[in-house]
This record gives sequence, structure tokens and C-alpha cells, in this order.
Amino acid sequence: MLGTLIGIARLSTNWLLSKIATVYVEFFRNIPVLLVIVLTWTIILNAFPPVRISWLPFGETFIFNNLRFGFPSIVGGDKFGTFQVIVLLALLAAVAAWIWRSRLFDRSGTPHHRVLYGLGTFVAISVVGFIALGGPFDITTPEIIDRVYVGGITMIMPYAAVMIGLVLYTASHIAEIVRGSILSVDKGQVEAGNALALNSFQRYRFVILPQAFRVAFPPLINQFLNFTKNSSLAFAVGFAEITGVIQNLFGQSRPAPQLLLILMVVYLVFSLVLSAIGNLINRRLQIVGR
Amino acid sequence: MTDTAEAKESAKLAPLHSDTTPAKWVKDNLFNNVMNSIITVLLGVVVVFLLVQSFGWIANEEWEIIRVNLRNFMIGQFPSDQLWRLWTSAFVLIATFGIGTSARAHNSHDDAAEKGLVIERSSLLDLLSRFWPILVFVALVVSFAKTWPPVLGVIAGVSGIVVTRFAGWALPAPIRSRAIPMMAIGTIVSLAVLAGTSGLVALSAGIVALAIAASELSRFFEGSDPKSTAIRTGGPIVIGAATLFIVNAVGFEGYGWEDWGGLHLTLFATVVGIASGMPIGMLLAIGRRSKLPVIKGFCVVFIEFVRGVPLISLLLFSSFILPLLFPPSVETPETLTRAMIVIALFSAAYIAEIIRGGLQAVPKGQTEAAQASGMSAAKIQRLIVMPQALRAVIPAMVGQFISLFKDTSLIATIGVAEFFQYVAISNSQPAFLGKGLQLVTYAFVAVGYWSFAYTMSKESRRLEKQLGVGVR
Amino acid sequence: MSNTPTGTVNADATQILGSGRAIIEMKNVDKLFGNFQALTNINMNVGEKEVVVVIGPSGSGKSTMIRCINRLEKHDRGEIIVDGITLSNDVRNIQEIRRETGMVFQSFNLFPHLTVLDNITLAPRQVRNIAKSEAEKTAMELLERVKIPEQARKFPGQLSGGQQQRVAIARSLAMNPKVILFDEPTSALDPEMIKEVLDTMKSLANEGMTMICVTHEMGFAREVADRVVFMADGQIVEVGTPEHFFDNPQEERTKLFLSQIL
Ligand SMILES: Nc1ncnc2c1ncn2[C@@H]1O[C@H](COP(=O)(O)OP(=O)(O)OP(=O)(O)O)[C@@H](O)[C@H]1O
Ligand SMILES: [Mg+2]
Repeated sequence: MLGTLIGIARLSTNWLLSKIATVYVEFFRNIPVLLVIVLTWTIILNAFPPVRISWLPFGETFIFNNLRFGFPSIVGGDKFGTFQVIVLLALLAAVAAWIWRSRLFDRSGTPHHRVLYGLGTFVAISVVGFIALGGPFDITTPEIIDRVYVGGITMIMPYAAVMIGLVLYTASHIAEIVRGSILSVDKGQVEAGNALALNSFQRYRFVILPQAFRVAFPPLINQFLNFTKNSSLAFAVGFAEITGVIQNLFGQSRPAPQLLLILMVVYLVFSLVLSAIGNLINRRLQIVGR
Repeated sequence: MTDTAEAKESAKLAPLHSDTTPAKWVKDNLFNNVMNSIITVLLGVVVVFLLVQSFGWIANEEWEIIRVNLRNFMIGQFPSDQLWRLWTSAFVLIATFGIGTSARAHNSHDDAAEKGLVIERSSLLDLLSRFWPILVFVALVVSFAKTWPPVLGVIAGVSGIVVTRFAGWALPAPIRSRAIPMMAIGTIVSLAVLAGTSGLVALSAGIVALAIAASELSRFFEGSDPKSTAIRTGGPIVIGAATLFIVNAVGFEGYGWEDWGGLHLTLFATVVGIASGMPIGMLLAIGRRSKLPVIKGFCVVFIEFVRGVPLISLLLFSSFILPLLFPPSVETPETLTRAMIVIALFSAAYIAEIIRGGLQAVPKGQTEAAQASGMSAAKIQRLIVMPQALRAVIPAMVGQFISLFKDTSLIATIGVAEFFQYVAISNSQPAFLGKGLQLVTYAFVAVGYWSFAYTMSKESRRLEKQLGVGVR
Repeated sequence: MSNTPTGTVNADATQILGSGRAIIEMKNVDKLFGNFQALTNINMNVGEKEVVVVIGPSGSGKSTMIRCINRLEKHDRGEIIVDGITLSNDVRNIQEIRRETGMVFQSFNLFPHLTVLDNITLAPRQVRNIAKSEAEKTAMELLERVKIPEQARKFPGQLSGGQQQRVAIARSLAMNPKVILFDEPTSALDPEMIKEVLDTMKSLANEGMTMICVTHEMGFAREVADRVVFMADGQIVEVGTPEHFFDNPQEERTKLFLSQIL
């Protein structure tokens, strides 16, 4: 997502925006992913305070320190089950609204606004349900009591660092793919769209993006595979220890070789399956030609 | 926001009139509508904030850690009394490549002139604009130097480039046309200065000699009589083998690469990875198209396996499991050697796929035309298909080179002291331990990686354009 | 460039044949690409149901001129009025004009990811808010008209060039435009296909469609055109009825051009 936005930003008419996007892309694309991850890690380590003086923004609903991040989360009350059912119903109603608007559009040509209608239905029913049940759930905020995290959802920092680092890195690659694929759409297509009086949204939605997506799909799958493979670098955060860890395991009853092999097999299966699926979809997507 | 691509397109088509004032430029490019104005203001604030912050940071940080460890970062633990090897090898490289590239430039310039095209001779200024990131990095390094020799060395190197560029341009045509063999020889020499003349260096010297002999002999013995044919096929092998033995017998002692380190090792590992991955990858690619199920199966399994698992797991495998598999009687190769082998195989798998793509891009009519003229299958591959395929995949290959360059940072995880590893090493030195200077070192290393990778990717885009023009 | 060697420059192309009112009016239109002046002082009117054929050497600005009419290129000076609407920078204004003008391109520019039917119904449904069934009915009628109803469910990549171009014509007709702009619609086609596309265009002309055609098909110009406009170096050099134009050209430039191609 971030990648797509940045890819489009690079094509923006706003000079500053496109330059910043370019700098971002060219920076992250050209340094090792390992460096991105450890850099994120170090920056988080330095930027966030230690546990004792954790940063508690928004009236202590969040916890940020350099070991863990805590976010508020939902805890169900008595009627939470009922509420879940209502949310499900709201979802169904939204789908129904969506279909209704599409049908209407097909039948009479009235602009459908189906996103608006669908969302509106969903939100309306959910809110009504929420009020009717008198607040079926509570929000718990994380707290630190005697060094133990209570309530909310917490995320350990290395994990957060790996995720953030990988997302930043992968986004820079995806941005390039998106940009390239949009530029690869023939100029004549845009002109034809223009000549048919499509507005800029319609042009993107019906002409440019469907074609760009077909171009971008294989490299995107590839990026996705890279993302999963790179996530193996999660090991490497504080990589000084990893050799130590595995060596330690070796020193004991050496489960490490097996572990490593299992890990490799898992990755292998994962990437084979994914690329098989990717190929399949890609074949379906191919534009029919002679 | 959505009409961006096309708006930009039209902006490109209708270039700004020469009489645009800065004010008009600002209006057109930053405040051309409400949305953009808001974006500009918001981003402007953020950018200014970040710039101020990072300037403050740069001014305040302790760069002493880089200053002290500069040599480590560059060349690792290379001993002082062996430094002459590094300098000599660097200068040999600079000289041959300076001469070689500009000789080639002169050749293609003449080619183009023959075809009636005019190509501007690339001036030193062009070179500067193409390679500025690396120059900036070199300048950064020099500015951290504590003693004079490296500064002088760099100045000598840069002026060496300038001199050799002119020298290469001025060479007579027959020599110029042999620019590539010359660069190959230069590389071998510079390698030999570093690592001695035995083992791998001798082997590569033999291979290079074989290749050069093959191309030279086929120039002089063109006939199809048995004698010429014999010389053309037997000669290179004899010369190659002889070179191997002679070079090996010289017995010049080197400084083994097990003890290299820093950026030097990183670059070296990348080059070796690609250089040895290329022939293996080519074989794998051809093998994958083979009709023999055994060969094909092996190639497919190898390629898919290597591409399916993360490099780091392969490295860990080589580092922790491989030694267990060696029988005690055989001496296990060093960690770095094993890592290098993994890197070579890893890049071979990726290169194989790139080449396969290139092979598929060669129209079938080419093979058929060659078959029609009665060429043997091997010859068709070697003379018709491969050249076209390789040409088509050059950009992708450069891309692979770049990503391998970045990936070599992973050998740090198995404890090899390359460029990236010195972040950890320098921060665990007693003088800097616990001072929280990781960011400083990361920043330095990032600039290092970035300058090389960015330059290469710019170059590859340039190359892509050139090839595109050349094809049509 | 602004002074041509002989004769009058910018011959009067504002005189509409017949009694119809002008659908397109171009007044003193200039167009620059950077410092290069692609159009100089173009004055031209096109009346209702009129067929105007534009010819001229390559690079003379024919495409540029008709692309200015629906704002695929932005003209720099002068005025363009389409069906009473003056072309301005206002997006709504541009969209309105584009709704009233169809365009057929040299390279077809069909949308490769949509079926023939979807290509034709896309704009009516999205822009004119026409019901799907109705849009498809109209589309099928149009396909009958261009004689390829059996291709409706195929993708453009599966059609021959001539068929693709006829789909493109049907696509522009689907918006029910007041005028259609043709930019060398047959230049990318093989001879047999040229004929089928020209036939389609002829029947359109006979049915009273207003058309501006850039083409190198002199036979078509002679047969179908109400007026022929000759352009060179970004200017309109000569205008006349086909008979007058081909049999009795006035300008040296025109004679030279005709002698080269006939
Ligand atoms: N986007 C552009 N940027 C710069 N110059 C352009 C552009 N489009 C056209 N030109 C120039 O404007 C001039 C007129 O071009 P135009 O395409 O209108 O010619 P044409 O009469 O249609 O030629 P042809 O018969 O080859 O299609 C040409 O000299 C061309 O080089
Ligand atoms: Mg044209």
C-alpha cells in the first residue's frame, strides 16, 4: 500500500512531493535490507525512552518504550457475542446494498456510489447495534504493573523493528514497480480515454490501472516472496547474538541443524506454492491476444 | 491527485518556455492547485524540520569512531606491511580499466561515425555526473583520513583515471579492439598482486588465457583445412594449460583472502560472486532447457531450491552444517571460502533464471535459420542464441549485481568481517563500547553502500537506454 | 517559417459549404511545442453534416490541429469553439466538448483488457449514465452498422486491424457525438482492410455525420469530401472542393505535394 502511494506520488505534478518520493525510493532501494532493519532498530532504540520513563501518549492509552510497544485493544463484554453477530449482519447488509446499487446502475445507469452506500450501511447498522446493546465491549489500555504488561496488545520491539524496516524497504521496491507499470501503459490509451470524455478517476479506474496491474503483477508477487524471505532476517536483529545462539544450540544437543533444515523446507514450500499460485493468476490475467 | 501521470506527461511534452521566472516555476510546480498547495506546505514543513534535525545531528555526533576505524571499514585487518599490495593492485586496476573503457568508448565512437551517427565523446564532466555518488563517498572517506598516504593515494588514483582515459583514447585501433582482453589481464594481475599466483588465481589466469588465445587464433587461422582447425581448437587449450602451470609455478606469495575485510572484501565478494556465478548460471540455464530428464531435473531442483530459500539460511547452512558433513580426514575450507561458494551458487541460480528469460526472448526463427544453414546444435547455442540472449539480459544482470552487492552484507551474520560487520566490531571496541554510536557507523556504512548501488543502478538505466537505441 | 514563398497564406477555410451552422470554429489558433511553432494562425470552420478532409506532408501539423479540437493538445493562442462551447482550461468545459466529439486514432487505441462490447459501452455507461442493457443494445446496433456483430465478445487482440478500427469507430459513435475526428485511420492497415474501414467511413458520411478526416487516401478525399484542406508547415495553404483542389490547384506548394503523391 505504502509502495503504491509512493509510486503514484513520484508521478505527481507536485515537484516537492515527487522529489521527496524519489529520494525515498532511491535511498531505500540502494542499501542492504539488513542495514535498513538494524537502522530502524537502532533508531527506535535511540528515539524511544527506556521502560522506566516510557512514553505514554494520548492519556496513557499507548505505551512506547525501547523494548515494547503497547496499544489499546478490545475486550468483549457479556453481549459481545450478540454484537459480533450484528456486525456480521451489517457486513451482509453492506454487501446487499452494494449489489443493489450495482444492479440499479446496470439497469438504469444511475451513478451507483456503491462504496458510499456499502460503507454507510455497515457503519449505520454497527453503530445502532452498539448503542442498542449499551456498549458491548470495553477498550483496555496497556499498563505496566511491576514490569509486567497488563491489558491491551503489546508488541516486542525487535519484531516491530523488523516489520517497520521491511515495510520501508519493500515499499521502495513496490513504488518502483507501480511507477514503471503505470508509465508502461501506452499513451494512446490515456488519449483514447480522454477522447471518450472519461474523467481522471474513471480513466485510472477503467483504463490505466487494470492494464498497469497486469504488468505489475509478476514483480509484485516476487516482491512478496522477497518480503517473506527477508523476514528471515528477523534473526539478524542484533545479529551479533545469532551466531552465538545457534552455536550454543550446537554446543548442547544440536537441534540447530534440523531446525535450520526445517526452516529452509518451510520457506521453500511457501515460495513454491506462492509462485505457482502467482503463475496461475498471471495466466488468467494475461490480456487475450492472437 | 489522480491525473498525475498524464499531467506529468504533458508537462514533459511542453517544456517550460525559456522565459519562465522562478516565481512562475514555483506556481506551476508547487502551487498549481489547492490540493498541491496544501501538500507543498505540509511537506515543506516536514522537510525543513528533518533537515534541521539531521544537520544538528551531524554537527553534534562523535565521528571519532569512524576516524579511528576508517582503515577497518575499508580494508579490514590487512596488515600494514602488506599494504603495498592493495595500492599496487588498485592502481593496476585503475590503469587497465581507465585505458580499456576509454579505448572501447573510442571504438564505439568510430563505429557510430562509420554508420553516420554522431555520438558525443563523453567528457570528464559526464563521467563526473555519472559517478558523483562514489566520488562523494571517496571524498567522505578521505576527509576522515588521519594520515597522508591514503589522501595522496586517492589523489593519485583520480588523476590516474584522467591520464589513462586520455591514454586509452589515443591508442592505435588494433590495440583498442583488444580492450576487453586487456582489462581481463589487468584484473588477473591485480588479483595476483593481492593473493599470490597459486590456486584460484592461476586457474582464472588459465581460463582468461584460453579465451584470449581462442579469439586471437581464430583471427589468424581462419581456414577450414585440418591444420587451421587443429590450431584453432588445440591451441587455446595448450596455451591455457601452459599459462595455468607457469603462473602457478611462479610461486609469488600472496596474502590470502581469508584475512581480507571491510569494503574491499565486500566489493571483492560481489565481483567473485557474479564472475563465477555467470558460467555456472549459463550452464544451469542451458541444462534447464535440456531434453535429458536427469540434467533438466537436477537444474530445475537446484535453481528452484536456491531461489526458494533465503540466502541467510544457505549461509548458516554453509557455516554450521557443512563442516559437520566433511569427513575428519579432509580439511574443511575456511568460513569465508564456504560463504563465497554459497554466494557463487546463489547468484548462479538467479543468473540462470535471467539467462533463461533471455533465451526465451530469442525468436525461434533464429535457431531455425541456423539449423537451416547446417550448424551443429552446440554451435547454434554458442554463436547464435547465447550472444543474443546475453545482450538482452545485460540490464537484468546489472540488477542482479546490485542486489548481490547488497546481499553480501549477509555474510556478516556468519561472522565474516566485511564492510557491514565493522559496525558491530567498531562499536564493541573498548573505546566506543556502550557509547551508542551505532547510528553514526550505520550512517557511514549506508552512504558507502548507497553510493555504489545508486551509481550502478543509474549506469544500468543508461545502458538499458543505449541498448534499446542500438537494437532498433 | 511565417512567410511562405508563394501565394496566399492561410487560405480561407472558414467558408462553410451549404447552409448549415458551424459546429467547429477555429479562430487564429497557434500551437507551440516548446519553441517550435506547430500551428500558425489556423482559421477553419466546419459546418453541420460537412466532411472535411485534411491532407498535407508529414509533420505539417494535421494531427496537432485536430487534437487541439478535443484538447488532447492545448493550443496556445486563438479560440476554438465546438458546438457553441468555447474551449477553455475549465475541466467541465473540456469534458463537455469531449462528449460531443468522437475520435478515431491511427493506432486504434482500443482498451486491450476489455471485450469489444465493453470497449464500446464503457463511456456511455460511465459518462452518460446509460443503463447497461440499453448501452449494450446500442453497441450491438453499432456493431451491425460496422458489420462485425459476431465479434462482440472477443478481445481486441483477437481481431484483425481492420476489425479493430471498425470497433474503434463504433466506440466513438456510441457516445452519439456531433462530430468525429479521424487521425489517419487507415495508415496502420493492410490494403484489403483499408477498404473495409473506408467503406464504413463513407456510409457514415452518407448518413450525415460531421467528420474531419486526416488521411492520405486521395480516392476517399475525392469521393467523400465536401472540402479538402491542405496544410504545410503548420499553416492552411489551400482549401477547396475536391474537384477544384485536385484538378486545378492554385498554390505551388499544393501542386508540388500532389505531384509527389499522385
Ligand atoms: N508532442 C510533441 N512535442 C514536440 N513536437 C511535436 C509533438 N507532436 C508533434 N510535434 C511536432 O509538430 C509537428 C506537427 O506534427 P503532427 O503530428 O501534427 O504532423 P502530421 O501532419 O500529423 O504528420 P503525419 O502525417 O506524419 O502524422 C511535427 O514537426 C512534429 O515534430
Ligand atoms: Mg499525424
